Amino acid sequence: MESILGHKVVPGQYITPLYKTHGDGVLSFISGKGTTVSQIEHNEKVVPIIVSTVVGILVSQPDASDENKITVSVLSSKYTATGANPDTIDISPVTNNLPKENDIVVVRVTKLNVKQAYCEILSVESSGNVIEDSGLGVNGDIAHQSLGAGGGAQALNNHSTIASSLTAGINAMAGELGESFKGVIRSQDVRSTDRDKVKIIESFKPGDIVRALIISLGDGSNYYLSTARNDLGVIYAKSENGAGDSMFPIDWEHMVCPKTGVVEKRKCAKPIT
Amino acid sequence: MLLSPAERQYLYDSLVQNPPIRPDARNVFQCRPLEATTTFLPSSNGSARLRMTDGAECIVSVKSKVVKTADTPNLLEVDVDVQGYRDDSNFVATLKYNLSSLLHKNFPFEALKLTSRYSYKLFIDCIVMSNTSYPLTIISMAIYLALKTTKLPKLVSEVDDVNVEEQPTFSDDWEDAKTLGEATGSDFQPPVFITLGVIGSSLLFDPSLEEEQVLENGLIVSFYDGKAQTPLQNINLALNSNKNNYKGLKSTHIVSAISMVNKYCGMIIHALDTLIDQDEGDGQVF
Amino acid sequence: MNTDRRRILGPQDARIPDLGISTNANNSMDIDPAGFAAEKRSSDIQKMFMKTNFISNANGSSYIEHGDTIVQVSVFGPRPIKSSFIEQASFSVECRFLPHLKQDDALDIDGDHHSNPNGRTGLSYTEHKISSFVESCLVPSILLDKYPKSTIDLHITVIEHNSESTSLTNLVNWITVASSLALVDSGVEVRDIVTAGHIISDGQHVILDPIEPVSKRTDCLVCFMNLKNEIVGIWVDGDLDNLDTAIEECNKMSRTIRGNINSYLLST
Repeated sequence: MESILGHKVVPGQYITPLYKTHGDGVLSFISGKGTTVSQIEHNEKVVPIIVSTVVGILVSQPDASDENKITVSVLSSKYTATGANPDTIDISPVTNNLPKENDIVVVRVTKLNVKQAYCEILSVESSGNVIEDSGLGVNGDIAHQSLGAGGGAQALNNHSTIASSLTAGINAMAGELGESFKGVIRSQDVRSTDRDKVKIIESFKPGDIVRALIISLGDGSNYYLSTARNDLGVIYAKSENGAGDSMFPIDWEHMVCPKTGVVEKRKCAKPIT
Repeated sequence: MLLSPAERQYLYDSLVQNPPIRPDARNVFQCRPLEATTTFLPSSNGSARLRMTDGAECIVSVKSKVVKTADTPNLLEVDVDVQGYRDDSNFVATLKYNLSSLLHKNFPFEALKLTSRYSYKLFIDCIVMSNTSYPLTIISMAIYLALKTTKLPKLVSEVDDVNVEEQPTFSDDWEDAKTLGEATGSDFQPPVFITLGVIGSSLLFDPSLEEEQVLENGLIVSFYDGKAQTPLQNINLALNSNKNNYKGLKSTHIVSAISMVNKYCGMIIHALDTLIDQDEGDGQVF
Repeated sequence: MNTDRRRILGPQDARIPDLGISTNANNSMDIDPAGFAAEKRSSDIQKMFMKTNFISNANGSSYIEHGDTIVQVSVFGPRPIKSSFIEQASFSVECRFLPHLKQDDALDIDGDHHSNPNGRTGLSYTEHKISSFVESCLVPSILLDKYPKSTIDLHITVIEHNSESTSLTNLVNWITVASSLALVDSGVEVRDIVTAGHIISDGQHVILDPIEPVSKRTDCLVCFMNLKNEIVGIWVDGDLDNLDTAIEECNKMSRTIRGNINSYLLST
């Protein structure tokens, strides 16, 4: 593995077996992002081997407590600046992996009702944007333009076509418009105390940028998010429903606009301790 | 979802044994029991209805039409209709493509020739009334039965009409009609498709719906003229399974699939022929 | 004389201008097929041109030119779904020929349905067949369970295909390679890059990547994941004798293509 460390690898390339003898001890490798474990048959024995799954640069990071445990990851070159020095690349692996349980995400609130706040997931902490924009989504140039069925992206393709999809139910159709992954913050997940007295309208407003924790993959359409922690909650908001200026938190449930002095209620985050 | 994770695992573990333990105690080369009726549609040249124990049912009708050979690129037209699927769905289109290519590649087209200008064109219409597992095998067996019992009217006009423009005329007597086998003067056996499920190192004939859910791959092999034939393809049999074990094949799988088909398909064909013999002259469906 | 009273047909002595018709109808015959065949040794694979990441609003895209074949593939996804929960991504493939292309339809199963390709909304049977073949080839390679609640959609556009010189299986060979390349370009995690090999054999001689029509006994297309030499797709027409040799030759060709793809990916 040492010979290709810091070099570009392609999907399906051997990186290292899971276990390797090293002097007296055994080095054990952990498959990080951009890799998977494949069972390779060799001399009628099945050997688990870490294999790259994306095009990118191979990096390794020893475990903080046990230096015989090494995590190997492949940093997708699609999301890494070209010509970057592999020694200085941020070790946080960047692929377009979707949010998982216990990931911290940054979301934008889109809609409120009495029971919950709806939001769209913008990025996953230390993983970058959820999906590299494919032109239609929240990050796209044409996010606010209307598009014909089929996304308008492809000549000749349309949504009425039944293309092949044997791997999943026919219900698994992509939405016609908007490609963001959606989430909800239910009122009981806004804070950890006085859960039954939470009023959504006093916690979030549409347009707020919120730092939240994924507590469940949820149902087909929404991830379930929680802000019930000190470091989670609104991190950026504008006063007067977005018409005013950006506000600063003064305590964990109030924000103030420095120009007008208006104080509004929010569930604020304290990201820096 | 059809199976719970525990059921899947149980089924997978028993099928991956050597020899595999199938839930219905079948051997690897056994098809499920079936029941069939032939020649029951009065207005078709040949027909068959086939039912499986799992409730799958398929009706095939063969009709003929006299066409000018020169104007007709294809003397066999297959149409497939599956209940619950749109005609333009990928599922139906792929079935139709596979059946067309099977018959197109393995059919004695000389049996359809009437005169030097005219031929019979056969229209094979398949309706799958209900199906649970991938219906290719059941359709192709029903086509086998229908084609085998198809009778075409006897030509009474001249065979050689190169110089004389003449419409073909046929005998009025239905008793004179000949089967395709009699027309070729040989033992005519239409081609069939066999679906094989691949799991571990084993191959399973005619996998059931539950087996399909845990299969690692699927193969369709044609059988005609006493041996395995093409088209030979691999296919994902687990329809709409949102958790599949789908994997690649080894080349040994393909070689052993061919030898298994060579070895056991003759028996399946023999069983279908016996079925026709027993059924002859009845003509009642219900 | 036939008169159609329902439609306005224009003057009866109307003449259609000879626009768009080449004066030299034999243009395409300038290449001597025999010479061409002699130039290409049976063990060679035709030169190909590939390019990725050129469609800015797709997550991944690829373009392959090979002989008379031009294929373009774009990948969209993972995109969120709008229905009940699924624990792994749904993968779908849609293959289309540009309307002016004559589709290889030896079976004539499309019958009259493809007479109006411009107005059609659905896919032809050939397109459906290619779509499901490509899908079953690529599904084993994609780590679908890394993408819950999403769809990954692959759109294949056949821009150029000469159904007289190139067989359908050869086209599908390059479609599969292009699709796999587009998936890699999109950054969707895959176990291995799927590459394909296509051969024809007459019993004694094996021709790799046949691009001119040859009378054949066996036509064999096999798609591989080279890491473990897994066969992910097989499509055989003709004779089944010596199938293992044919598979072996296809494997050789897929490895050559794989080598080219690797060096392309490493150099971009």
